[in-house]
Amino acid sequence: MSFHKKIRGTWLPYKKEPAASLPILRPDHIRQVVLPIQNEISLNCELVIEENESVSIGQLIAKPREDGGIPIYSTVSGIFTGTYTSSHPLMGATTYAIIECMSMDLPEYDAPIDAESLSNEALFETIRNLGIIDDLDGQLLADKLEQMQQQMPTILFANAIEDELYSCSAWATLREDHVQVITGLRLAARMIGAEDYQIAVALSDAHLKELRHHIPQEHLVCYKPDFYPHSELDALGYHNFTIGVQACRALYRAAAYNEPQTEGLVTVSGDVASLPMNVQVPFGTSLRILLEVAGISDLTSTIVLGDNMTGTPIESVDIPVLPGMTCVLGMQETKPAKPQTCINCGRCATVCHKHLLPYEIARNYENMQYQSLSFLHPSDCDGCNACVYICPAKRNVSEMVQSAAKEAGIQLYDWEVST
Amino acid sequence: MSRNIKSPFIHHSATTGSLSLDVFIAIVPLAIFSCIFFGIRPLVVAGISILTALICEYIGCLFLKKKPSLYDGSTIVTALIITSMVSPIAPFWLTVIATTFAILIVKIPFGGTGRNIFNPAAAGIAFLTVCFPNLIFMYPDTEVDISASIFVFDVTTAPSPASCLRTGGSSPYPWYNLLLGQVPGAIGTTAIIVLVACAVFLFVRKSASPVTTVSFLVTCAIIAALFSRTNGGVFQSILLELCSGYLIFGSIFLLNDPVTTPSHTLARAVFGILAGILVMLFRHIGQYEEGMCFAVLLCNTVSTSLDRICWSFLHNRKKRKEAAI
Repeated sequence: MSFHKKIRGTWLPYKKEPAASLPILRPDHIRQVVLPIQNEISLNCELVIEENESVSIGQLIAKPREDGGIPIYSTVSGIFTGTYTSSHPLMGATTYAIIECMSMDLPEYDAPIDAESLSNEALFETIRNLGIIDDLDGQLLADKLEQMQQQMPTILFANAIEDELYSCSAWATLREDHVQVITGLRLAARMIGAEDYQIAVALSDAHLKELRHHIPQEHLVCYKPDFYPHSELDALGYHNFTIGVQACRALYRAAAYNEPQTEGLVTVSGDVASLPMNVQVPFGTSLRILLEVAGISDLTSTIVLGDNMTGTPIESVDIPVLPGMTCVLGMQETKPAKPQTCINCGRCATVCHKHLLPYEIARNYENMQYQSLSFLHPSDCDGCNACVYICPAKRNVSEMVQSAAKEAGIQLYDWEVST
Repeated sequence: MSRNIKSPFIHHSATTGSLSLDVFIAIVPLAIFSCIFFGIRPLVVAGISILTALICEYIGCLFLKKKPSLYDGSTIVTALIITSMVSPIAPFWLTVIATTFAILIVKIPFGGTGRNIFNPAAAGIAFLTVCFPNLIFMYPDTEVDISASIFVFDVTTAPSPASCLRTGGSSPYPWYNLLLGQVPGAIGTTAIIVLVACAVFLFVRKSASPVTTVSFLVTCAIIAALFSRTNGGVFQSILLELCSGYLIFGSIFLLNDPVTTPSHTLARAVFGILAGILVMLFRHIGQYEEGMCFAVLLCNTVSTSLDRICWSFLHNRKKRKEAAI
């Protein structure tokens, strides 16, 4: 089966080096981790430990108040000293449990369980109890795999494409733990009833050659690097059947060692980073430590959660690293370019992988012709920002399309005269 | 820490100014080539046109209560296109009228840069065609050297290839003269080889679409082959029709104006075909020897509709295919 379909997009500059080639850094000076136990979105747990109690790595510290919630496990060995509440840029008002770190070493395990011998039901129960999160989108892996199971896919993909500029944490995970990733992916495919599993990557020739030594050709599909956005899987209908590479590894470790997710791999880079690299830290580690390691100052640069094309700038770096966070950037503080009038060049339509007409949608939105917007399907937009990148007039086309999706169909004026 | 900055944090290097710069760079060889035949006269005409355009843009921005700026270069490009389409011996005031009409009547009242419905340069030349048909199509004989003085207007004239086609019969100009531009014609529309090089430059830079140009020229060629106006064969008819008047120049610079032409690929192809049919219709049964500008203006009226219709056609076809799967 061919996984290569011609799609629309644009070419971005290559900025993954040197982080992609350097070894993963594991800082050993982490003194404290803060783990969220309650927020405004989906997390609602209650503590099962007392203040000043010793906790060991992988120990349950908070259980969900409702069925189907995410349990919270300690990511270090240390002492629980209390809770505090502060605002998180994405989760809103969040309550955190503070653990003073004594040791980050994982416990000595006996020989791993043969994960392949576990039944699907046992695997689902294990990953749900351990609260494994998919690093690709931050969803609970058990819920995601159950939804996939109902749709009966033929192939499951581990999405290691990383088509934005700087992020290379999936590549680093593959390079270091390819056996665990492949095994975890194989287990996940079996759980959802898929016949086949593939790892999708977009690597340079040198990195691809390195990877081919470890991963069988029949389970590897490679796309061109620097192209954005890579929507081949979307075009072939496999978009809903992808999971993250770190989630595959976490699934394997959950099955083999009954180990919850305690660490995450984050690419710390950007144009102000003096030492861009991939950093592996326990969840709950402050973002400030990662920035210090890469030589980024939050006082003189814009800190971005996520990658260059779709990331969110944040004001406070005193937030913890959590599952789903795979890239943090330090970007030069620059004044945004003044947007000019659209000249209808059509470049945004050329790069739109959803085959929309962003300039037409933006024009109708600006002229408040909302009733004709639904004809142009602005709700199909997924916010990849390729149109904003390519626009010569430096207009925020994507934002206008997203706003248009909310207003589509509204009729501002009713010209019928009622008597 | 900047609060207003949003993703993406990197942008493509192209700007509206750089797109206009590409067109400017493409027109410069035409001006240089025409100076070989006409001395510095084309440069003087270009200077007058640019100055007029800038003054009109400034006045127009005052009316629109906008700060006048030249960031996009579209005003200068409009002036140069008008310059390329007037006769070398046309009075200077003709260029001033065309440029003033283009900027103050066609561009500014619709909102300025990026908001005009009609191509300003095409509208300016169309205005001259209607008001001063004798002056606009009066070209100097190529045997006469007019490069000595820029103020020479009363010289021996000769019929252009487009005029020869209109009157019927054979053309007195061999094919190599047509390609090299050694025929009576406008300042920048006769040197076909240079025009082709300009087109290739713009296509490579992606500042112009080959789809529009090729579909237009193929349509014109087919109609020229089917409805010949010359005594020669099919090849002679195609060559003469394509190399006469504003056809090739218009296919590159008028039909690729981003503001007034469609952006969707299929719509561009349909636009090119429609423009080709209209141009040949104007040439065969119209009053003037050249109808390129009128055809462009008529096609400008359906640009946006073509975009939406063609996109909708392909979008619905894609959805039907996906539903069938």
